[in-house]
Amino acid sequence: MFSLKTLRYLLSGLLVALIFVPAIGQDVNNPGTLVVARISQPESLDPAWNFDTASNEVLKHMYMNLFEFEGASVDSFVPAIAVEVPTVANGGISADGLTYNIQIRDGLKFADGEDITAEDVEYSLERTMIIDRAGGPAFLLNDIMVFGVAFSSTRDGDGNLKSTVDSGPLEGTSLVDAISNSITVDGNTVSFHLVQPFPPFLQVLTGGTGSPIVDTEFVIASGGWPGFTGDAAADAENIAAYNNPDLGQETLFELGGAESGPFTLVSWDRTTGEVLLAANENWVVPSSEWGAVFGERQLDNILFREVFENATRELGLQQGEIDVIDVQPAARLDEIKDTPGVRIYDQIPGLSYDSIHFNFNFQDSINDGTAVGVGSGQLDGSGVPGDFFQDANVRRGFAHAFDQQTVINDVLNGRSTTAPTAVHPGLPFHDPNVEGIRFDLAAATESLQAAFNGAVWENGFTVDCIYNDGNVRRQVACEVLAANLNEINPAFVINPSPTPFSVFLGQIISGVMPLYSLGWSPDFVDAGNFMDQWMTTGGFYSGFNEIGRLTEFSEGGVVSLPGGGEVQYDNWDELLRLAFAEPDSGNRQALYTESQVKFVEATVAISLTNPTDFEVTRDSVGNIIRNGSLSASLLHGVFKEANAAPNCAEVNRVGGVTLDGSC
Amino acid sequence: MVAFIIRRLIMLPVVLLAATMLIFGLMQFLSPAVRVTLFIGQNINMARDADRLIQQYGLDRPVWEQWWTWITSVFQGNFGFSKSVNMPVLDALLSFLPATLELTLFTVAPMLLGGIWLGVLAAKHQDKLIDHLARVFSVIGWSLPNFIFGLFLLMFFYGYWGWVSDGRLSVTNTVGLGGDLTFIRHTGMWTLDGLLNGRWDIFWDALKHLILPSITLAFLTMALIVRVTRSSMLNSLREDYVTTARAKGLREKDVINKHAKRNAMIPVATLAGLLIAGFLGGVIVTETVFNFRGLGYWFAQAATQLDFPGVLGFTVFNGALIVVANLVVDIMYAVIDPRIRLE
Repeated sequence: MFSLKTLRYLLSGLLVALIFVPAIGQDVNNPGTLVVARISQPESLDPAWNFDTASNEVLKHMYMNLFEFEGASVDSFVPAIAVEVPTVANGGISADGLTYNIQIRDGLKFADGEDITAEDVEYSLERTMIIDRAGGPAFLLNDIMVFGVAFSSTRDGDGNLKSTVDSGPLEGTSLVDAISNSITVDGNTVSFHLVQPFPPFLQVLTGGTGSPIVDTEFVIASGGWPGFTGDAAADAENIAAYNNPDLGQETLFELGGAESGPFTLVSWDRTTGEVLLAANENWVVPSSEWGAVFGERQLDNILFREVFENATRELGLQQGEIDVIDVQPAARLDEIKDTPGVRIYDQIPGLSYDSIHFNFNFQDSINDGTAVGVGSGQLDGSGVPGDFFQDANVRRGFAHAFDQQTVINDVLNGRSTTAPTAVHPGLPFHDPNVEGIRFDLAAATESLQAAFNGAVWENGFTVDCIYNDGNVRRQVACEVLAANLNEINPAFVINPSPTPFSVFLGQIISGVMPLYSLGWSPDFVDAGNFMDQWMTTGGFYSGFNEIGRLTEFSEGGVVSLPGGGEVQYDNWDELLRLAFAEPDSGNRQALYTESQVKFVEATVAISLTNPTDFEVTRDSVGNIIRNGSLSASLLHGVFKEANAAPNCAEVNRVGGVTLDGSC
Repeated sequence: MVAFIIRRLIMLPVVLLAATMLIFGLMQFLSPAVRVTLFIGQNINMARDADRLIQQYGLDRPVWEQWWTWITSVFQGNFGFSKSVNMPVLDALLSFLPATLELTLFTVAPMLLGGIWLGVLAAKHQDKLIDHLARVFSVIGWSLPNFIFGLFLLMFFYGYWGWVSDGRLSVTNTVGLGGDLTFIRHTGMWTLDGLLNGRWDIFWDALKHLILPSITLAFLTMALIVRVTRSSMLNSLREDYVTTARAKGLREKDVINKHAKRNAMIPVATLAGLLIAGFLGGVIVTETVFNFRGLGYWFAQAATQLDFPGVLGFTVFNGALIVVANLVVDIMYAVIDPRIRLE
């Protein structure tokens, strides 16, 4: 064992070493390998299963879709496997918007050297449609090519596979026929047959979830769905066998070999959370348009790593061991922006949207004792009754008492736009002329004095504002609302209440919370994908919150269309259904403007924020393209070199900046 | 002693069954809608299928029925699927155990050797400078939260000097081994596998990555060992047999090592046994800070995501570990002090 003298020498030596050894670190570590540290790892690497951001970012580099986003743009595309982007003008889209004919490019190959064909495109998308795992991406295709309703499923309410289509124009058709006829091939042209016009269809084919193109032969040889055989009985059996597999049972869960994209899967270690990709030797830049945006592939490897701890990710970036990191919360950006060697892409338009939700009927949960955060459950000052938020004066009073700008300034350091409604400024069909409810305590007082014929003002109330634990943005939103309401009447008590996400989500599903804050990220970039969740009876939030209880929901109205004529609707479900399926963009704008007006008039929710997106990299990472639609970066043409120039054209295309002033 | 060991081992399944029943009982305080969120995760679109998923996984069935379904599948070798880490429970256990085992192996030696050495030294020199230093060390060590100490080490050794990185291997070796089919993962412990494959570069790399988490764990637990060893040694040194040994003219070294220290080791053995069992059960904070993923990481994921198959699998493992660790400690008592009989 050491003597005291030896120990003293050792400690002294260590201290000297700590003080005088200079920082080690090269400008560019691992030049051919890009290391991306994210907060979570993929759920599955099967593109027919994937429906989460972490998986999608990896799969975007393993597989190609028919199209790719045009760099940072969220609504324009470049052809990938397709020869060109279809339009009505070039004949790719039929005049009625029901058929998309897409020619497949010759000469592209999968990772194993096999040609990518039109049949592969058909197989890949039909495979997604028949797998249709619960909560997966299949509804994006099935809604518009099979069932004609939003958020459809191939299974009934009891979880049994449907034998026939039970809604829309194909109602009564066997499921086998409906899916197998939805996509057809003629030579090297693939035709998609929609049951209703769906203007954002190219978004679905581009976004990555459910529509990447896989190698048919490889998947079948690996035990995957064998495709349609023409034998109806056998096909029905096959659908039943492959429909809704448990996680881990899907063929490409952790299997590489079917890749059509610039990188192939080398390994996925779920223990360490590391996914290693290597350059696909059989891949070539698919089109000149692609090349003009992304350039040639330059990396040998991409290593995606899951690193939970924020400080560990930041230290890795600082040291150059990691090239790209997630940073949370956004306010941290101002802390690290001056770190040498770090580059921050900021002010990228974000597409997520947060609000504080009202539950319009939680009386049942009060009755059975499962309600959360309702106090006494009565309007006696120490609780709220189950129909509290059915009174428009209550909702309006709450909304007037909320100071959106304070949250944006204090929590997001200005990294957000104000969003009057769920059709926030980053979305198509956002109408800048629709004003949200302004922060005005006098107006809040007036509304709340009128609520419940004065009983609210007289008795006061106590209610929890519930948010997922750890989300500072939502926490502060609840606190701001609580402070302002308490200021106008001390009998108004809102208790901000953090709850673990899993419990929180369970409470949303159960409809037991009166007031809570959560947001939405796009399945595809369209006004309908957001507005439906807030205003229709089948929407995610509005469904659980029982929007149909509002009298405003069923008041109906008339919308004048710019092309002439007018449309009448009986309720918000109908209004948004009409808007969703309207092929003419002018008419769509009119219908979505109407929904935004109604959103504000009825105060469906308290609009919170529409945070801008950002990416944090080493300054040795060049040509990284952040895409707000994916909440991820496109790494197709990334390279690493000392002080690499950023792709300012793509940063500026969407109004972004780099905080080091390079763009 | 054999009868004692058999009796203890018979108790093992009883303890484990009771523990699983307790967890199933606690689960009932969460509604099926809350428990189904495990399958939904962050993908709130999936919440639309909540009712179907509740039915599919039987979350609305009576608790005893759910427990019976689970226990019968366990007896068939199926511990279920740990959704929080996307793999079957047994796979998760086998995948995460090597990292924890490796970390434990590299922590136990410095913890015990350093702790006992310093504790004995402090007792020998009671109220001298070394004793004061040892006491200050143990107070600081035991009161310093390990995430702060770990982050402090990371900040200097990773962030500033760049000597080591997080995780278990460097990026270069992770990428290099990615497609290398000739490197065989015999044990899952990179240091041992590096040696077994004759890859010194992997061995050194893995060793480098073990240093900081091992120091973090060893430093903090060593403080406790120092404290217990010191007080136990002080008691021993006051015993009559030590005085007798000295009176007989034995060398001080022999008095300390052969007489006082041996008896002082009983409480240390108890503590060490439980600490080692605790390490093997995973060290959540240290594993998280250094991104060194072992059982602690898995348990943290399973617990926070309400991954009950994961929690149950971990509980069974950890329960068995604690029972066995206690058994080993009891046996060690008898080895250390022959007067103790295990009846």
